[in-house]
Amino acid sequence: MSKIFAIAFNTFKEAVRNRILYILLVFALLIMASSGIVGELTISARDRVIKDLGTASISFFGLLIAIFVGIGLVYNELDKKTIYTIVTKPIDRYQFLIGKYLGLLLTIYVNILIMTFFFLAVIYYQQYMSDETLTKALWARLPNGECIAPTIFTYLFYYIKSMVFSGVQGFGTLIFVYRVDATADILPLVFYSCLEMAIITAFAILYSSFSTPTLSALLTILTFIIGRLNADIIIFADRLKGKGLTTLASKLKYDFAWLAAHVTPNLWLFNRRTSLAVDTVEVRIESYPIIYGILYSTAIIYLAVHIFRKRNFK
Amino acid sequence: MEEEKVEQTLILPHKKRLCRVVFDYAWRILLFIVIFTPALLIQNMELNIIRAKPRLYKQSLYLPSGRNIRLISLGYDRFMADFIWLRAIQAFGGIWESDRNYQPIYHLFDVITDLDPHFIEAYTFGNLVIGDEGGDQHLGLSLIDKGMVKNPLTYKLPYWGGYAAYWQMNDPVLAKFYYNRALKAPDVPGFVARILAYMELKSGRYRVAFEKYLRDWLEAIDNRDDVVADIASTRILDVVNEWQIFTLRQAARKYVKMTGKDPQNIHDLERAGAIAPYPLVMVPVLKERVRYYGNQPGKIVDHFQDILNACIEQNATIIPPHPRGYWYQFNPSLKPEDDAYIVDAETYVDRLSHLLGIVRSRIRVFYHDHKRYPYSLIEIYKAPFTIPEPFGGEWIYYPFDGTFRSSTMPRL
Repeated sequence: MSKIFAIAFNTFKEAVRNRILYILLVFALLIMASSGIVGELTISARDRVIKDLGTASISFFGLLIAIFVGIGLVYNELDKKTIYTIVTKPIDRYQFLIGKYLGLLLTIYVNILIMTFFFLAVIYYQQYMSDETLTKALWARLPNGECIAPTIFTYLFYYIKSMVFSGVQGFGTLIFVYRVDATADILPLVFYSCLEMAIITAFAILYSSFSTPTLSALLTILTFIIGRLNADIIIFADRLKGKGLTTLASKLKYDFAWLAAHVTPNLWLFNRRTSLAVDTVEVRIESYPIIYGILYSTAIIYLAVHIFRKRNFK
Repeated sequence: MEEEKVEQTLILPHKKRLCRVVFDYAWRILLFIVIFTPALLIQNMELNIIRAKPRLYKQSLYLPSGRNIRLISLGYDRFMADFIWLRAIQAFGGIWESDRNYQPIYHLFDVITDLDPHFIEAYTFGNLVIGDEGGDQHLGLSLIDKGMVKNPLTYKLPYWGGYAAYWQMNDPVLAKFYYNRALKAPDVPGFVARILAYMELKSGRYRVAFEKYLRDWLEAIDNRDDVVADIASTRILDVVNEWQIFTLRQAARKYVKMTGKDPQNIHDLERAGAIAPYPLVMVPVLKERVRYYGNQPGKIVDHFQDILNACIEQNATIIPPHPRGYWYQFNPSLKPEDDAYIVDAETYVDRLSHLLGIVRSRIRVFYHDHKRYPYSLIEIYKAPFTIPEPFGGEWIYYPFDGTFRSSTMPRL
């Protein structure tokens, strides 16, 4: 186990040196920071737009990190022949691959953590900057009902104080699950994104264990697309069946769609906000998506280990 | 070659080396500016062309269906819905500045609500844009109907549907349907029940409206909610007033049928037996009963039926007293078949006070400017004062002290 963790830790150290990671992270943070401006463009539903933009960014950039960092991890070891220095040591290939997987997952999760912290801070900051809060905080009211306009220093002090407090509150939400209405659903949604990333990363490792980075990236993206369309595929299969499977072609199509829907990962399961029946219901962490996520990614990693074991490094 | 150049640079004296480096950077920056500036100029020209063109909002109206976009969005449905929502707001602004034909925008809201069926603001705002601004109330309400199917647990959608049905379409029956649906939602606030009672009143179901407001009043007293109690008690008087006007109007029509002539006085209706038996709400009894049960232990709303039975006299045939102490009278400018033939004096007193106030302020202004009162109102209006006195009486003006009164209500 310690060998796996050693490889995982080294993979993490290697991955954080990857420039793509930082570029993606900076992009994600910029988009989240701009969510306040985007929120200003809407007439109503401002909070909703900000939240959706942030959660979608976390999910999407997490996916990009999984793909662009994950696909090269195994391939680079083979390409640079550094794999020889590892396999000559008393390390099994499965330990190597699982270590790589866990290391990559750790990288993604650390990035998601940073993005979530930043996003939470942005939400809290937006609350400090709402018209109502600003008026209450900056405009002092005298007993006779008159208002005193704030000075530039009051403004400056308030902005700095808001930034600091937003950061502290964001940190509190992450660590102590402190939350307000505006941030109530965010941690569960991010948690589901993490589960989704576990499966996508497993696929990225699987593909990179037998193919080139370009092909791995393509296959991982396709897997993601199929996974997100999983529910639509089974609906399509049911429609075919409803129309009647009279010809061989339609029967084949139905079987293929049925098989695809049942074998490919059902990532729809982790898209909790959209799949909830009623918008007012709070997103909760449930056990079956967790069990599903762990089992599915374990199965894919098992497959990857099997392929990797058979692989000839010459 | 490159190495030689570097060596040559290194052997140069310090100042010359610095100059060489500065020159090196300078010409590179210059080259960059030379290449980049025309590009920026072209970009600027393009931006000006775009600005000069009509708004491009109409492009966004040709979106594929919501189902197809949902497939493309790969689970980022909400994000996509938000994106199109922002476009819809822009399109609304664009159309508002141009031809104000809002009907094509329906597709945008349809797509948004396909992508996220729980986007309540998209339904309500879409209804306002297409119904209120666009004038197609039915299309606007179809959005509300769509939202009600997908979000049965929120009162907001049927509430806005009721608003559009009554205030825009003037259809209290349809409005009642929506408000009834809103009342079934678990998150419905208390005021919706009062709006529904108002709809009952406006659709002519006076007794239902009266009972709803009465129950609301009693509940508010139990809950010590003075604001709601005040609103409900005021509305009860309005209901009674409209109910009695309706009864008298029916009687006036019957009188004309019976006698073949218009009634000269409101009491002619009673004398001729034209008033059909009707349930008379005795407001003083109602107030007394409420006061009585209010002083008893327990909830006053539990005595709802007792209060109701006590305050309504069935089969009354008298001229009903005005619930606020005014009186009912004929509108002299109308005929018995007109809906507004019988009015309550309260409305007319308000109108009379308003008119008196306007003319008196003009007289004061005249006095301020000329240091005397006008000899007649013609001097103020530069024409004869032809606005009729609301009760059919006459205007009285005294030039020596600037007094302006009505012959019907000289004390006002």
